[in-house]
Amino acid sequence: MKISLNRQNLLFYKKKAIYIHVTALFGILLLISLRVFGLIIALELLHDLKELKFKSMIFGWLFWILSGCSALISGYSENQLVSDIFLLINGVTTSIALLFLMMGLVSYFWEISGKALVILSIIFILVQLIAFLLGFDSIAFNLSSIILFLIVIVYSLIPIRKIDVFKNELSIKSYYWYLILISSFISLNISYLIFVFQGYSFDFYSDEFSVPMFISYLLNNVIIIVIIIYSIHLEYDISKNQKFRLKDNYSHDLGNLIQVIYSATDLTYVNDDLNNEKADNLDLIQKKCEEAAQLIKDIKEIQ
Amino acid sequence: MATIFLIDDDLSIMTLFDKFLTILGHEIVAKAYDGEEAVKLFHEFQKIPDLILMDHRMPKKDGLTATKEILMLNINSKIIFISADYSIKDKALALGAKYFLEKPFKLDTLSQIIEKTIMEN
Repeated sequence: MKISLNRQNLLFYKKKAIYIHVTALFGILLLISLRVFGLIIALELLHDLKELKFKSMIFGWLFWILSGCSALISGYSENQLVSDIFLLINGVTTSIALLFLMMGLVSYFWEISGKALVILSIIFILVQLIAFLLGFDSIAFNLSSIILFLIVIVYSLIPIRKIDVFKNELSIKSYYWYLILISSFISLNISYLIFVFQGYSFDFYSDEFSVPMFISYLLNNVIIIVIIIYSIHLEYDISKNQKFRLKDNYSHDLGNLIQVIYSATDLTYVNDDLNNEKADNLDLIQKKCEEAAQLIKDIKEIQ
Repeated sequence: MATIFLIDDDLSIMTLFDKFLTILGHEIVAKAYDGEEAVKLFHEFQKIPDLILMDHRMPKKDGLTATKEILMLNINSKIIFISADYSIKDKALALGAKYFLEKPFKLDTLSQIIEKTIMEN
């Protein structure tokens, strides 16, 4: 088979053994657990808010969990072909997971299209599958890293393009978490490049403790934690602002309505020769207007 | 008595203010229903009105922007900002509005503020 002929040169497969190094094993298990946690949060948000971005995030977390599981299966499989296929699944699901998750996060700033997500996913799957079948394994297995690199570039540009959202909608905490997220992504990309250029491989079959492997899993876990915290901050800030906007709009409109009633009764006082009963009624309306005005002030002060 | 330029997108409020101020003896020289129309009308005035009553939330151009542009055309314009949006009070005063009146208020309050502004002349 063409696949097995070309795989001779791959770093990934040279040191294949039948067990995974303990660092990699715990690293992957922790990754899967954190991704399940992220999935639960996204499910809860979808249940409460029913927005497309949470569907995108749910798919992202699901694919990421799948990618972790496929890495484990690949690591424990004694059959070379099965192991290769699961490693391919790992690469494909990771790239799609990153795409869906980051599109979910991007949608806080830009409108995202479900159709575009599906088309991009199909392209990612096809590119990786074709590369794998043609024997360009390094492309197939490293596409997720390339996608991660592209996402970092796109996501880093958000504050420049959407400075108004950063200024008006987000709290300083969200901004810090955004910086931490970008820094973590950049660190992962840089560490990956350094390790590759120094000749390290990311295989997790070696029985020796590998510093690059440890750093890679550490950064991956940190990124998941940061994504979860950052997305919670984003959602909190946006929903808080929506609540304030609604409060402002309602109190503004109510203020205008009361102003009309207030002014109309004031004018009636001026114009008409009022009998006692009419004057009492107008007094009552004015009194209630004052109470309503106070109520509006109280609403405005709600934090 | 003063010449007054009324700017508000709410027709009811505009009508009531118009009636009230006319009763007090003031002259309503013009009315605008949005910020853009206000700036345009102000540009066409031969003689600037003594007072401008300015709302904030209006279509096309808001009150703050209209205030800024009107004051750029004539720095001596006296603008009384009238809005239910209290959060913009500081901005309005910083721009150069003389007073800020938060809706809802009694018409007596409006007449007092107008008198005060005229007296400052």
